Amino acid sequence: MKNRSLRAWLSVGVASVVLAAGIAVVERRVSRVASNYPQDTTQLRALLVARSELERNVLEARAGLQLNFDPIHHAVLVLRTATQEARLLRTRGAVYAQTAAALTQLSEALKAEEPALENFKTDLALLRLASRYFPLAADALTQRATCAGDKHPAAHGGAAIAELRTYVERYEDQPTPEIARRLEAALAELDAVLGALQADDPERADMKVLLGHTRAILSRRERLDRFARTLARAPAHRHVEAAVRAYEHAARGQLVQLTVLRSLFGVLVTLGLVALGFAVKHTTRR
Amino acid sequence: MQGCDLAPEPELAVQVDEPTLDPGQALQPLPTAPRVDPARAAIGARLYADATLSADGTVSCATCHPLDRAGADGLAHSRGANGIETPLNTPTIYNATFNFRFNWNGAYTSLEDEFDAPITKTMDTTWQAIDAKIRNQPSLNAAFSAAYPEGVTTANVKDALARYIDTLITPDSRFDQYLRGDHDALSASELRGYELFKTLGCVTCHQGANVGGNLFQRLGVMHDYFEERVQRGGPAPNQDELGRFETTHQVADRYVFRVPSLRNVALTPPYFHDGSSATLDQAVAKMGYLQLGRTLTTEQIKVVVAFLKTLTGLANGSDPAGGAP
Repeated sequence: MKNRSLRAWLSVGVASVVLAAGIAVVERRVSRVASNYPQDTTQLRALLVARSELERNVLEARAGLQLNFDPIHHAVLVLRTATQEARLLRTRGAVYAQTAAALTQLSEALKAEEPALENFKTDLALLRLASRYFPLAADALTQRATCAGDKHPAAHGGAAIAELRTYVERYEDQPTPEIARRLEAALAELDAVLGALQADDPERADMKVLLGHTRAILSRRERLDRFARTLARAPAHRHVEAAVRAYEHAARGQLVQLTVLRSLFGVLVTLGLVALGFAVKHTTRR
Repeated sequence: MQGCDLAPEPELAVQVDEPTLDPGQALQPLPTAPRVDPARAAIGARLYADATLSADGTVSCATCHPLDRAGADGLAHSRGANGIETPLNTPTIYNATFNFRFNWNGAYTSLEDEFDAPITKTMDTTWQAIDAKIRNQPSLNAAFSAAYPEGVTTANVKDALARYIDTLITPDSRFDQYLRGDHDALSASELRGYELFKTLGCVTCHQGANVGGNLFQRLGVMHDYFEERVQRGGPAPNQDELGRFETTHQVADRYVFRVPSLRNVALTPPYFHDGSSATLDQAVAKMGYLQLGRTLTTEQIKVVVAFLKTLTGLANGSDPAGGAP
């Protein structure tokens, strides 16, 4: 009887200690992964900030509040690190699979978006130039048309230029399809005037410049606004938010796991020590 | 027209503002160099000047980007290994780290990726050959082992070079000093040039800390550069001059290039992707015509050039051209 009790206490004690050792190994592995929390969250939040900065700077550039494109470039540089971050998280285990997947989606979305973003910058620069020089070009041509006299082809352009100015101003203010159609019509009229001018006519070069500026405004104004709207609704922002949420969820799960493991470890160690203590007591009594 | 006195084109209103550091303004001071591992940058410096890495042992990065010549060799087309001539003009290496993309066509998003082009096309070699040559140099091999856990690998060779190029910046130009509040850093003429640079619209493309280098733009916005070049007896555009089209294959991207930085521009003739303008005055006049549709006056060109000269900075305390700025 006493031997059976001794064996029982010994078995419980040894089993508890062995289990505790196993749990310690698992706890160490989980703890090592979880210790990356501060840098991981810093990196993920940097991605979220960068995405917000990108969207804000595109809107500000469009509104004329941001005259250099460096902030857009800096935001893109940060966002490009999402690929590397996804790769790193995958090496840490399945617990971060969802986070890594969201970051991969972010990278893919950004890659698809970058060409349009570059076009946006190019177009915006062209629109700024065209808007600046259109009035000067129109003034110069109007003056030439006035001086030309009724017999010169350019004289017929005077009214068309005035009409063009009105529509350009309205289009720059609010690019509607109706105004775009009227602008196209005014352009067609001026194209005809251009066609009537001789190759060595000084008005020819000026007319080409005016039509060039007008076409730049017509083609780019609406395209820029469309891109700015699209960017704000693009999935990239949702992907980075999803990555942050998934990571926080995984981190909370790990915290719970660590708490359970550590508690279990404590219980098993205590049980083991108590059981072994009883076993020793049995042995000494004998 | 006969008997018709046209009024002169109105002078663009030029207003000289107090210098500010508004992050929304077009031109910004050059930032400080990014922090780099000094051991890795030191390896990069050795690689940069090592001509033995090229196919015929005559060409290194420093051949086309000599640091005592403001980072560019002053030729319309550089000369590579085995008599190769580069199809396009070599831009300066200084401040390249601040560009948003690399190469005239902007095909590369990092310095490390961009290195593939000169290694194969100008140095006429391969990364495997370069790695092997480095491993055969005991002191360089040892330096790599000390600085990189993996030792000599292509990725680490590229990293060392890129980290070194990160250090090649030219801060504290007179214009940077002006932006930071030194009202006396620019002369009246240079200030007028700066303001004209803004009001003419040069600053729509040549903006940011690098005064360019952060967007794509067509060469020939108002006039067809290549058509007029052919009309003047010059060559038709070749494959390398298609610009961004080479990567996007969109027709609208033909002749669209990465806008070059104007930092140290006064020290790096000739200008344009084909090195066709020998002087800064010619380049400014050409840009006014091509991009703005304007014939700039002699006075306008003079003051804009005076401003551009203030973008000359000092590399590590010395003039990047090896002489007075």
